[in-house]
Amino acid sequence: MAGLLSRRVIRVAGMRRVRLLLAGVLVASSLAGCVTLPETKTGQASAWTPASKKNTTRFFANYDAINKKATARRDIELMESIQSGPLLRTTQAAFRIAERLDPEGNDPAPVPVHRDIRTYVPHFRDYPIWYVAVSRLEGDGATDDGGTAVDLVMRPNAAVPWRKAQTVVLDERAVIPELAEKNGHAVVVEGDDGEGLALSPAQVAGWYAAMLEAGPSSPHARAFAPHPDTRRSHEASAQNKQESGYEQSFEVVSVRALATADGGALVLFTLEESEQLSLRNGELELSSDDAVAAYTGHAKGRDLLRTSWIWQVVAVVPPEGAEDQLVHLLGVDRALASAELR
Amino acid sequence: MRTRTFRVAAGIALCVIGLGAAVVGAVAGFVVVGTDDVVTVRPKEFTAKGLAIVTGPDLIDYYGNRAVVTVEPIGERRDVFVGVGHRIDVRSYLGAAQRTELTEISYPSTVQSREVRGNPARVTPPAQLDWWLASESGRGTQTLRWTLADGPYDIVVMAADGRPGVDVRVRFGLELPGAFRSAMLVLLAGVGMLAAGGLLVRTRAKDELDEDELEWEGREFWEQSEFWSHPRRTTAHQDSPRGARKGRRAASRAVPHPPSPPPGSDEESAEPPWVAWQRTESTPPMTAPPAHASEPSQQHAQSSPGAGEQPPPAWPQQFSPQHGSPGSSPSPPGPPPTVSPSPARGSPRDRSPKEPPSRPAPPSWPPPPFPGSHGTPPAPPHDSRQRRTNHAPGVTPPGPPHGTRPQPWGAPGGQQHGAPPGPPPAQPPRHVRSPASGQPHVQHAAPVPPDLADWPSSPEPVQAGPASPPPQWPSDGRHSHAAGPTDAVPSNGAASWQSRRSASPPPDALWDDVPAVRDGMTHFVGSGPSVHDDTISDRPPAAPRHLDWTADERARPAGDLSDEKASPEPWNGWPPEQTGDPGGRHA
Repeated sequence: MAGLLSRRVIRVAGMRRVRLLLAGVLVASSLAGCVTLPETKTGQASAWTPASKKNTTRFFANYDAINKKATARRDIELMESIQSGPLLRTTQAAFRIAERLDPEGNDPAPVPVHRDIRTYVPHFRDYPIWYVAVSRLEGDGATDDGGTAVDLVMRPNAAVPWRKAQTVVLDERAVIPELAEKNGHAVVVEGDDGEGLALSPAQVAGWYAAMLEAGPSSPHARAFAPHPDTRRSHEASAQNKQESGYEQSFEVVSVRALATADGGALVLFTLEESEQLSLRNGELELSSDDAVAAYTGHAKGRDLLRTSWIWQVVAVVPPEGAEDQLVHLLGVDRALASAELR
Repeated sequence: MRTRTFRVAAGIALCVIGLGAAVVGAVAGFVVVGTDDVVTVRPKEFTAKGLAIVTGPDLIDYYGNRAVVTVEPIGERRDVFVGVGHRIDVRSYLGAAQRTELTEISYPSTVQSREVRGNPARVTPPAQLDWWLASESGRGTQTLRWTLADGPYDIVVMAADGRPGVDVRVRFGLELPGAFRSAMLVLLAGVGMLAAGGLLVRTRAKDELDEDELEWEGREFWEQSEFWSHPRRTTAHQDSPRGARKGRRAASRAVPHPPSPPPGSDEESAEPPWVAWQRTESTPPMTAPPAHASEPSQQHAQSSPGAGEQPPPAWPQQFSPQHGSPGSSPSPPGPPPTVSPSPARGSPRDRSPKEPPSRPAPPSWPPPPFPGSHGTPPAPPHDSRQRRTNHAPGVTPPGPPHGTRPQPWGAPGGQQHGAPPGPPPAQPPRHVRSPASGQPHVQHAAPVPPDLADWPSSPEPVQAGPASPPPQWPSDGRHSHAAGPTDAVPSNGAASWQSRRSASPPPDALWDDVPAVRDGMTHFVGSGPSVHDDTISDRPPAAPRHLDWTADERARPAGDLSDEKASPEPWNGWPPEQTGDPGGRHA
């Protein structure tokens, strides 16, 4: 009986095993089809976004870190990795001056850091690319308010990293107007495109340079609202022009503009001021803490003084037909780029 | 037969398909894909003078999966860089520099490229740029993993320092999540199908083997019994070993314990003893369902040559219509009128799950006539189904009055042709004291045919032990269980079988393990005078299943036995309300 039972049990168990195995095979076969295969590209990929918020945030964090290190070392090569253009030239000059004035580095220059960064990234289709960042500067101390900075960050091609090409600390009471956005991107106003604006961005830069060169009596001066730096420049130019052999010229280096929400434009431009003073008839003696003297290493000049200054300006151009048609300068920074004293 | 063929065919088909699937799964899993789910192209060496190796504009047309690019520097030990970037960035980065542009990558080893002439200029080290979507750089082998995006993206391999000249070995791969798992599942499915197919085929083969080589517990003991292996019970079926086996089985099935023919009888060598017994036996027709009792020892006592008694009368005429009238020349008994002859034994799988397997089928039915003038048939077929038919509800249970001559158990209405070993005659319940517990319990001497169909209805517990009634071993020897009066069987399940088996030891085990039954008989309460052992030795070796009956018989006076034998009236000792109980399991 046990044999019969065993045989039957074996057979039933065998069939049960068969069913179980077949069920397992079915389940395994069903699960075996769960393979993720690639899909054909749709060709409707999202637009190329060269600078994301993550990238800009990372850039400024990197910039602050490198700037601090490079400033402490006065390492211009290191600074080249984060700055470019006119800004780099001024930094290079600043390091040189600081080296002369404080060779031991006992009184390092304050290095502000960027906080509350707001970036305005236009939409681009190819290089070069740039964007504007507005941030609050903080000094080494937590309560040290460095003001509001407007930075122009550029990348001419993919082979180079993002670099800051212009930075202007706004005037104390200056307010950045609301910028226009389109599809999440800032709207670029081309330099020559003055449609709907009181002045085109290129005109703003050129007229301002002409005003500085010609003085306050220049016809271009009517287009700009009074600004302390402008007045100071006029005063200095007027004094120097009293000297024979003094020449001054301004050249527009770069112009970038973004549309504002009211139809105007926020213009960022840089000028290079070149001064040349002939010392044939006299001798020039500078104070030891003068920038030119510090830069050149000479306090006295007998032949020639040649300097180059970088003007970095942030201005707001009103829309055409606005009640106030003056261009308001929000911030102006003039810094020595180079000097030659013989 | 069709089902068998289908099973075998299905098993073979499963084996073939499973083998193929297993091979495919194994190859796919361990050769093509790997455990990292990455399908990798054969490594390609590049020795480029240009600035970089970059994928072509239309090379990567798919997205969604992860690309795996492994770059190994060769030759000069230089740091390598591998990265992926937007096409605008890559083109702007490389500019007009000389480079190698890949134009085709396909599995397993196709990597084609073309050279783009330009200026061998140095560029900014790629690791300093932030527009790389993913990049790896450093010394040694570098592996880039990047999920392909929907857009114009290129993969760039170049020196980490941005100098021209790239000597690398590049291996491109594409990750297919779940590929290895799927391959393993295919392998598993194949193995499963293989196993299932093997089981199907093996089960079929085993079934067919068991059809001929059925083994049952106790068979060895059964066949080794001197009683059952009596040489005179050999039949013509023993021409071949298989026939001998079947003949032995048939003989073991037909164990009505007939009286041995007188010495010198011409039937002795040609016919089984019970054949002559049946031919000469004359029993008045039984109108009521007689007891199925066959009392071997009693039969021996009656028909023993030494006893000098007449052999039992022939079968009643209505019992076997094909038989001649009593006294006429015997003819082979025909098949039972109501029970269809079953030449072919039913396949075990054809039975219901709860139905126990039947023993092997009898050789044939009707059997061929024996050679010789008498044509005495061999033992009639007898299988479990016939036996179950006899004990169907409504059939008067066997239970002849004790002391009557052995009757072919079964209904006298012609439903039973077999001459199986009859169970002991029905006896009134006897109180038997269990040696184990010492508590008396009611024991029925009434035999209970090992009808499995009755088992589920038995609510009584199993009572094992020496005091249990002797097991009713089936005549065919196929059922090792004992359907004794006190043998309760659960409704179903293997445990029930096991329980029954454990409660009823094999015949020989009874002799060895139950001395109280073998030598005692004194445990029976109210029995007659005890019988000495020498009286037992005079009898032919009795099957263990007759122990109890024999003991009971010996407990009765011989005169009672002869008186009851002469009485044609059936025993009416059953309570009226219990006469329909075939098993006599009621207390």
